[in-house]
Amino acid sequence: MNVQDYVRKRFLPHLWCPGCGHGTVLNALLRSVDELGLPKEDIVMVTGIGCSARMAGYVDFHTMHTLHGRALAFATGIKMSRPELTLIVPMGDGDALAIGGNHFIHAARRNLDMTAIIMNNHIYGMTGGQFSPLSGPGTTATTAPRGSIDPAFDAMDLAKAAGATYAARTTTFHVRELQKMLTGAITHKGFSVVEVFSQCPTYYGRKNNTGDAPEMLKAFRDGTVKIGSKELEENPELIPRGVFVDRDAVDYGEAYAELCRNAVSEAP
Amino acid sequence: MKDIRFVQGNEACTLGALYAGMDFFAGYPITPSSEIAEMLSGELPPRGHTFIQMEDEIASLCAVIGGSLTGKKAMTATSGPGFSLMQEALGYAVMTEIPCVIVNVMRGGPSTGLPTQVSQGDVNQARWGIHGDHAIITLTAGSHQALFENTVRAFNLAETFRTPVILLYDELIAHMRERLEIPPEGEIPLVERLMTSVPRDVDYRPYLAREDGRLPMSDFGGAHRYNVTGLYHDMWGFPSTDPSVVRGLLSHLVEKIEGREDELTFTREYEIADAETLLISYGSAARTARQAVYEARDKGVRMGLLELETLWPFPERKVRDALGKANETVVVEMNLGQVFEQVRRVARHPERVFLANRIDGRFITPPDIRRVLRIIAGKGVWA
Amino acid sequence: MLKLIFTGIGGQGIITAGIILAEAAVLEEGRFATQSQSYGAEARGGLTRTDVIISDREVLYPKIEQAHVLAALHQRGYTAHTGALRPGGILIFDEEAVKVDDKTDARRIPMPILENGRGANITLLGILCALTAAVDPEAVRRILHRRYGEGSENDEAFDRGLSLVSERGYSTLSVGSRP
Ligand SMILES: Cc1ncc(C[n+]2csc(CCOP(=O)(O)OP(=O)(O)O)c2C)c(N)n1
Ligand code: SF4
Ligand SMILES: [Mg+2]
Repeated sequence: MNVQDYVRKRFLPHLWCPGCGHGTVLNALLRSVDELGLPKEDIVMVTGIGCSARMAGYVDFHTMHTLHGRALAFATGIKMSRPELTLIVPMGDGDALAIGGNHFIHAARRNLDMTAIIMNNHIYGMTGGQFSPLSGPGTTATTAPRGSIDPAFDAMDLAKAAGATYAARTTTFHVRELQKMLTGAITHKGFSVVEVFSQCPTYYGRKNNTGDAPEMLKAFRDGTVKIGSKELEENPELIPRGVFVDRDAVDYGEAYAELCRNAVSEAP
Repeated sequence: MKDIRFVQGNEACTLGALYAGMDFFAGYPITPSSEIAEMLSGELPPRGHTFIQMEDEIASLCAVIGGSLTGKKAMTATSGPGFSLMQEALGYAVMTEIPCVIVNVMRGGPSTGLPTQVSQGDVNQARWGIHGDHAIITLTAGSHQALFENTVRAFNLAETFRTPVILLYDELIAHMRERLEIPPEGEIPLVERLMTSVPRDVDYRPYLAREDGRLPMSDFGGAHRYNVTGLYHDMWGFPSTDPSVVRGLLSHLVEKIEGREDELTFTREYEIADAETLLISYGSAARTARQAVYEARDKGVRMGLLELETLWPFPERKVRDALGKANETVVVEMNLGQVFEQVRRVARHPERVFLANRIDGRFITPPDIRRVLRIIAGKGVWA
Repeated sequence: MLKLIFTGIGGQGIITAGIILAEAAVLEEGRFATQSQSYGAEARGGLTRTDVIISDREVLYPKIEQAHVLAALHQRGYTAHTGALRPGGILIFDEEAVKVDDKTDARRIPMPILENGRGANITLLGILCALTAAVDPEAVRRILHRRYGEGSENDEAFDRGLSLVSERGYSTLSVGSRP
């Protein structure tokens, strides 16, 4: 299939700003789905609210555009009801880890079989450039004119500690890597997380004098490095990319199915 | 043989939900509703149905909506603090027209309030807890038999009107035990989801209502791929800010409920025909009111009771009809007058409507009602 | 109509006793009954109370202000709830654990209830059945069998309660009121 076949053409052009990284994530995701040969009717995309969440409108899957931060909770209901469906849940950084942080850690803890994508532009794009819990100290934002003092989460540490069985990080500069990770995450049985640094030239870029999209991408290239690499050892201040967690564990759906089976057999 | 049980109200509600075919429950423990989740955690798995304890009430209602969208009869149960947390998702269910049942076993509020005591303070929250104009269905019950029936009814109405239905009852009903007769299967008709007849690969418009206002549904993840959003949306479910789309959707959402008062409002009448004094009550307070009616009748006083089982949409016509015959009306409830205000609003003579209430976490008594009647009669209170 | 209050402390099975009695009236005798109990703050410190109303008509108002019977298995329960016994009502209490105030206007029935250990609550039911004819003892027994199976130690505890009444020389009292 052609990647274009996964898109609802009547909703294009999309609403993202020129140079926005979110489109790159969409592209990589569609390529990954195409590569896996997943039928459109087996895929459910659930999103919250934010620029990132707009993705639900553009793809020709079963799509649900829900509430800010709550996408994983809705997705949990869908997955428990229809375990055979493939669930993909793209979220903004604020969506996933500020307002939705609780749902994120609990979905990871349960190890529900679904893929969470954190489209991390280090800012609240949709609402006009306020800082997020992934912005980090020193980030300038419309609610941090003197620079944020808020420490940032490391999404990978958080995912790992909470029990995610697959966790990977990359950026919109590393498109091939991104596609590979998405493929790895979707095929992984259990809760998988892919964090993608995505550029928001409109707010993050402007507020932090990073230059426009190409320059922001260059910063992703230069500011990140593969985990386990020599380069990282020499430059520990760089941000590691790669697969941080990939392990097998019983996923919640399986565990629940077994609970049901046992409950039936113990019945008189 | 009749299936008679001696159960708590929360069990009556649970049994009603199972009778209605509820096959998806997500919840978070909170007094005085927890018995529902406890019982379902045992009942649902052997049936192969979903029970999940979520991380909070927000997640619970979100999961319920997800479960329902994929074809399940879904329910959650909570109390005031949890119901407050659910408001955003409740609005989403209203906007996206996803059927579900939300049980709110009332406790005294605001805040943590009186977790284990009786109150009826959430009547207005059920109506207006969510932001924006909307309509909502809220049922209540004053006995376990009625609770069972109204739980089934809640699912039926949710499916018929594709809307969340709130089942609001109080701690006294929740925890008290009394007789419940479970009707044989089939005795109470069940409404199953109206499914679309549009075949696969033909343009299905999930938000195009039929002439009768009903929306045929396609299970999410099934034959039709469509979009669901809490934004104003067109008949395909895609966001729209077109004024005619916005006006059309909002009026549809309101009209499908407000326009069907007669189908949606349920009441019970006791000794009303010749009543000079009319009591209006609901939930456990209606038990006290009925007791007061019988005690009055024993003394030859013409008193009657209109018991409301639908709180929203407010049964305006039925209340107005009943008011017309009485000299004075006393609303009996355990709050500061939430239904009282509605009765006054619809009354032709609001000055003849009075309130007998309690707000201290104690169950309202027949003497509480008689005291108000004495004041109305100009006899004062014999303190 | 018969209104009974059982009170004691957590672990004595007071609530279960109330449920069994009401259940027997409803399921075995086809009558009406309500059972309710205090929760939360009121029930803190382990004090428990259950209200049972048995009637031939639907019971509307389930709380008891004036009980026909108060059964107390603990001093604190007695102290806290004795005011809810109507004047001249029946007061059943454990003769070791509860000291009844001389001024209490009640027909006092001191009984060795708690010496029956874990079955004490069921012994209380036996006493109640024999003393008040609130519910047919055979109806209660059938509920006991349904809950615990036949020949459980609860059967013995129940019989002990029934025989205590005659052993102590009491005959069946007439209690209750028209609905
Ligand atoms: C309950 C609630 N609070 C606040 C908002 C406003 N809001 C919408 S999107 C958003 C943040 C978006 O940032 P992020 O999640 O990082 O996504 P992005 O737009 O950057 O992709 C906020 C605060 C909302 N919609 N709902
Ligand atoms: S505001 Fe930022 S995140 Fe949102 S579309 Fe524009 S560039 Fe992208
Ligand atoms: Mg963001």
